[in-house]
Amino acid sequence: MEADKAGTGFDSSSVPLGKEPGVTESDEMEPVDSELFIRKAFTEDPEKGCELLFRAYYNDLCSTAIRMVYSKQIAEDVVGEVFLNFWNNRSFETIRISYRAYLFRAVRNRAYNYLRFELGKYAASLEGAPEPADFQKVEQPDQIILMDELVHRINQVVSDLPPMARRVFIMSRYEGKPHLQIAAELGINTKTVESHITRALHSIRKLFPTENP
Amino acid sequence: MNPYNIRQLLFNHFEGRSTPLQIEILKEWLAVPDNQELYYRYLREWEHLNPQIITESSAAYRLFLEKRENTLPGVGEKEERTRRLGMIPYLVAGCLVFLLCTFAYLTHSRWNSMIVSAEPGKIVTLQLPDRSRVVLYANASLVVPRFYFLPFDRKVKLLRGEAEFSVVRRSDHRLFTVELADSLSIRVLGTEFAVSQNRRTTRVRLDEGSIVLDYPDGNGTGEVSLVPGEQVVYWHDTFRMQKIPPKGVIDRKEKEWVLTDVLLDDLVKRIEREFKVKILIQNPKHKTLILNGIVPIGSLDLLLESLAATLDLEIGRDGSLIRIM
Repeated sequence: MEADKAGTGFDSSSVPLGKEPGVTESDEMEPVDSELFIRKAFTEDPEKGCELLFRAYYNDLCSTAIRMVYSKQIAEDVVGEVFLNFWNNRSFETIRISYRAYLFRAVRNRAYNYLRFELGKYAASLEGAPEPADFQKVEQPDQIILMDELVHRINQVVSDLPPMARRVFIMSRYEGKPHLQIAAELGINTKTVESHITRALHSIRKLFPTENP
Repeated sequence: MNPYNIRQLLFNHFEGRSTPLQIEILKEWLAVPDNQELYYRYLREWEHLNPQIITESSAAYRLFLEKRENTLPGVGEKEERTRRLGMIPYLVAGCLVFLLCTFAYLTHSRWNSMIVSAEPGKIVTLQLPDRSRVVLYANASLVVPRFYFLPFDRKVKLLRGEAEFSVVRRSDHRLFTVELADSLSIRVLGTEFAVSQNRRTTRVRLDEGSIVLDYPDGNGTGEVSLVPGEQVVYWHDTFRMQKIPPKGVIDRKEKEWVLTDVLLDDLVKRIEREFKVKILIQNPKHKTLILNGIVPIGSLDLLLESLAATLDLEIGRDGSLIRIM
């Protein structure tokens, strides 16, 4: 867990926008000029660049993914796949936006699609895994806000669950515990565990619109 | 918009506390592409400050490296290519086998059938590849497969004569077909039946099971189903098919009765009813004699005479009492 220390934080030259007084963030893992630094590394040694990128953003990306998929394993899979695509398509050569923006956007989209697919209503998406070409196009604000709101509503749904159901759901999906173990720890039987989870997933499923927007 | 405000606005937003108005402001702000860059920057920062998860990025990176090695585009392609080439010999082999089988199937009558015959006075029993049994009587000739039945059905041909069949019922209900002379054929579902063919008629009798007999009926093909105990007789010259219930049939015509497989006992009862007489069969063994033919019924005496001649028995009449001796 990173402490919020006063320090040098992001250098404004890493982002081609105005300066940001008062923004302080220190990150032991990430050097100053991180984005620029990493880009440079890619031009000299792509593998090294990839490693830097991975270590810089992996945890944060998983964190953003798990807010939607609610499972550590799946969140890590999603992020891993995004990195694989990034590498295999050599996107580091072609994309114009920051790698950070690319990765976060890709991870959120992929997590979103996974969720929709898993809940069974649709085949994947409006926006699949973004290809470099897509990044000439600008993402729609609606899409961005939609995902934020989805995250918020999932949280709401989960916290609105009855206490036992919520515990069961979190233990199962978030902590990845098998049903038998949950049943044992909570002193209930596995059928109850299953029905709690089913109910929770059902509530989450209702968050998805029944028609394409 | 003041950058600090934006950070505050976004952090508030990520925490799920945006009011509808704030959302509208954000949407407007995000419409500028450069701002989207800023959005992700703050998102990353916020995630960094409020992680939902702690990961082992070193271990994850090693895993990523493994996966990366395994999916190198170049390597993948080469593997694909060799795999596809490797398939070709199998495809060719498959085609050859298929052609061979088709050829064998089409020419099966040449190499897979043989004729089994029973000489006059002899009885031949044979077992078919599916363990069905056939008994051939005098002068019968049956075409059977030499090795195995073909996959889709079981066919034999009775060229002539008499035979009894005991057909095994297969679990896949494969039809057993007996082809007879003169375009008749019997479809069998597992059963015991007998066939007798001569120049004028073909007879089929079903003892057990179920069969269907196809026959030319003058206009095309007719079919008749038999249940156990039933017999049919087919006359080749008139295309007539007649079912004979177990107890025989007395076909009543104006001046005569046509008898088919009628037991003497039944005939006698019929005569008794018809002519209001009483008939006594002295020898019980005669009761089960089977009669076929035409009996005139113009007068009782004529009938009795004809009967006596056919049966080679003496028949005496004493008024309304008749004795068959």
